[in-house]
Amino acid sequence: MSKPFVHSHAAHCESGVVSSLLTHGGYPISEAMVFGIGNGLTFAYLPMIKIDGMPLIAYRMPPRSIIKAVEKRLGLEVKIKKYSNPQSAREDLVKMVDEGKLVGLQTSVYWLPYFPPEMRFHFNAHNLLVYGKNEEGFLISDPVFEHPVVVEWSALDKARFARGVFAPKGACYTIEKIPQIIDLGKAIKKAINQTCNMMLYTPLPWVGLRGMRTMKKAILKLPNHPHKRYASLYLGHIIRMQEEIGTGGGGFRLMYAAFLSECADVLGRSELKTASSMMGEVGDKWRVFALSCSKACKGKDYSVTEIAQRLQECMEEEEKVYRFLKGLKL
Amino acid sequence: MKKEEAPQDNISMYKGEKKALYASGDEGRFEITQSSGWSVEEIATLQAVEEFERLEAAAYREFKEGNASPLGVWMYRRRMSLATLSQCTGFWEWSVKRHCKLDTFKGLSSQKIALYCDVFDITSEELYNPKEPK
Repeated sequence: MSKPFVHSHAAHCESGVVSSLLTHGGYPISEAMVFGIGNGLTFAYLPMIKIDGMPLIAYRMPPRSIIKAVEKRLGLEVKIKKYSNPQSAREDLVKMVDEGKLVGLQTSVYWLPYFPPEMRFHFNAHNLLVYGKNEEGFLISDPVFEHPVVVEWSALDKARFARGVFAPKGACYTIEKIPQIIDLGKAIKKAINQTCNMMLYTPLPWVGLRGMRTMKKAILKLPNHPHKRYASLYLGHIIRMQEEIGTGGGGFRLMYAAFLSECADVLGRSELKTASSMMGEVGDKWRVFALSCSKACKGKDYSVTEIAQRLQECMEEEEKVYRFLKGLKL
Repeated sequence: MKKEEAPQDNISMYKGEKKALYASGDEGRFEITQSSGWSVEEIATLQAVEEFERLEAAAYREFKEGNASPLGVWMYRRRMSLATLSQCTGFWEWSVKRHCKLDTFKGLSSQKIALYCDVFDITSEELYNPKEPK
């Protein structure tokens, strides 16, 4: 009999699931640490990819990249399975649960019955954990919720086999092996350097600080859009990508600040504490930016120059953090 | 953000639940703290929901007046755009657009109707007769 599973509340689904899987598997690790060493942090503004008519704006790396990066950095063995039909996916899941395994699932948000109706949108890369079953259905630990829930069999099938972009195709994953010795310090150093380089030097106008500059230009052009509602929907879309989807506030910047303060302890480098509070201030700046965007959604008077100015401040402060981290020569 | 500054606006869609946010506590360490929601988030979420409701109501009017098929009503009711529905069904966007027209919709094969029903999770009876939006 394996030890009982303890649900823990996290800000973001993927890092929360990986943190729970590892902790349950005998390697206690926080969500923020998973997010940091999984190189979760980014900024991407991709106007050529549209979500409901809006450009793709992301404050974190694409789905599954955290799991993959953590697998590589810590030397784990992760088994990912996909299925061609709901029936075999369900049978296999029942089998794994009976074996006492803790299983991560990729699902759609829209078809999960326990999500509040206002928050159901077609996002297919949500992650949750299955830790057991009873006569009604599977016992689910969704890290972004306070408490575990029970999801009825067919409802979970529907969520696992939603169609469209990032279609989960029943994807499920388990951690098969955690190495005896893990060099966390080395993983941290690599991850921080990689994130800094991506944010500062990606030679594309859509990624990192350059991506923020491109978004700023787009915001300044909003008043020229032929549809009057567009500007306000666009700014609302930014807020949702930054604050609504589980980011822990300030588009993951506050979670990254938590990561940096943990790193200071692991590596014994107090400069990382300074970096953590700098990143915390960046997160606050992003929240001020969201606040200025929200005026437009309420139909109040707003100025795009002011909003763009707020974004400029985020960009400048964030650049300082990455330069500071690079200067530490970790 | 300090822990005591974490917004506690009791926003409607959380239904009394709390969300995890990161904020600084003792000695400036950032940790998880519980938030009952931020009004800024609420505004943005409700705006997105209301936009779908507005589109659904317009599609329903068109359907009732006999100018459009019920497909548009279900598309917006399920919070989908033309692009999302096209990705979920595998039909081109222009095909979905045509299926929203009454004449083309009437001529759809039963397989195509079944696919739409599956994507919307409804019966064909429901597909043909959408209830009035709330």
